Amino acid sequence: MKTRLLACLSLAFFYWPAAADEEEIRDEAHTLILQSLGEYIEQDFTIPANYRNGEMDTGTRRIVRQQLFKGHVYWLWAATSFPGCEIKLDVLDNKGLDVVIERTEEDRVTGVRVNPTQTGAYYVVITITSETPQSVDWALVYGYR
Amino acid sequence: MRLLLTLLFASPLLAQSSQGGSELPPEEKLPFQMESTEFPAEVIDEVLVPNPAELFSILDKLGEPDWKSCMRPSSDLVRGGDRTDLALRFGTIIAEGFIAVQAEDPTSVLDLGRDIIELSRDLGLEDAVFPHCQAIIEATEKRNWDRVRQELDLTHRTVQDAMEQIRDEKLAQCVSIGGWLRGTEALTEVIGKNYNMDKAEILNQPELATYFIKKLEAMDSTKALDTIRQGLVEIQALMVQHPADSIPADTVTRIHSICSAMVANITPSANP
Repeated sequence: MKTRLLACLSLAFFYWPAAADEEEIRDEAHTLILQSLGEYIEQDFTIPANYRNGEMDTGTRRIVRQQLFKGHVYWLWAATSFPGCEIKLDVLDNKGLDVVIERTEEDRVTGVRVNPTQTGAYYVVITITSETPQSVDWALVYGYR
Repeated sequence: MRLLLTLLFASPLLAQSSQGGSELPPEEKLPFQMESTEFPAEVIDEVLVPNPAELFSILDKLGEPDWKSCMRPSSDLVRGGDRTDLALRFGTIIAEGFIAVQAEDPTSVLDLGRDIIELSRDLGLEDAVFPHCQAIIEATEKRNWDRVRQELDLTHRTVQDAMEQIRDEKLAQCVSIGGWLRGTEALTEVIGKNYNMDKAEILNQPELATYFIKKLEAMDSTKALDTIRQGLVEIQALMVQHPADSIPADTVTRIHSICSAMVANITPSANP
């Protein structure tokens, strides 16, 4: 278990040095998420290396399509490295219904749990707000068990 | 009215986006009407493609699949071809690695590790991939299968990142397509051998098929890519033909034979 935890934490450093300047800023959100996942790794969640990131204006939403499989329990985490922002995550099924059954919030990382009742495409909605409008980074990571 | 204002407000943001967002408003990209809020929405076009381990582990929960029987017989790796061929082949080899890990077959994993190094050398990515292959070998020797899965996953990600850094996103997509096809070929083989609807539901992935089709349509036409695109169009149609929870056995068989034909084209046997 410790090996898995170390391997996951090392992902943060693995991507860090090779990235270009702009990519580094974006990857800060990704790093924040990876650093918060120890508890989930210990609970046997697998965190795929594939993740989404980008930039967005606060006061807007990004919608990411994600294939989820019935039979797995999923956690999805989103973060921004910009302080003073609020980040919210929702997961909708193909009818637009919210399927989130648990939420966590820690610093600038927010997480939601989904137990899909059907295999298919789901829609992850990331909303970031702040008192003053600005362009911020975001990252989305998921894990399954 | 509020929705209209939201959309009007959203339009310039959509046009300015450089993050792979859609040019179409969400209403035309989603199968449902988004709840109207003061926050304009943008749909990201990219889709996270699940690695084969995520799918295989569901089948493990539903029974005891015979992964060994769906491994391709080992043969000398076919070398050569253009970079598109190599990228597609790379994806299938990574997926083969995941299958060999499910089968807990150390000899095959080590053989595939060598194939990964050779293919990455042909792609000019050996330096980036080599540390992962070393980790795969070490973890295989310790029979630490979780770690091998992680390293296979990281190998895939590393190659995609390296391709994207040299502005070769299309090649990166070919790696994903090759992996998805080989993974789906193995899945359908396992499901077909001991069919039930719960297992078949894993194949409800028409969005992924559509995503790959769009990516292929954006690439320069070649005989190999056109064949794959046509196969994916057929697979996508089969995936939406029935409700997710009642995909019949003959559909599973048909998807399997389409995938098998495409994978055979991507990785022709060196010892026919």
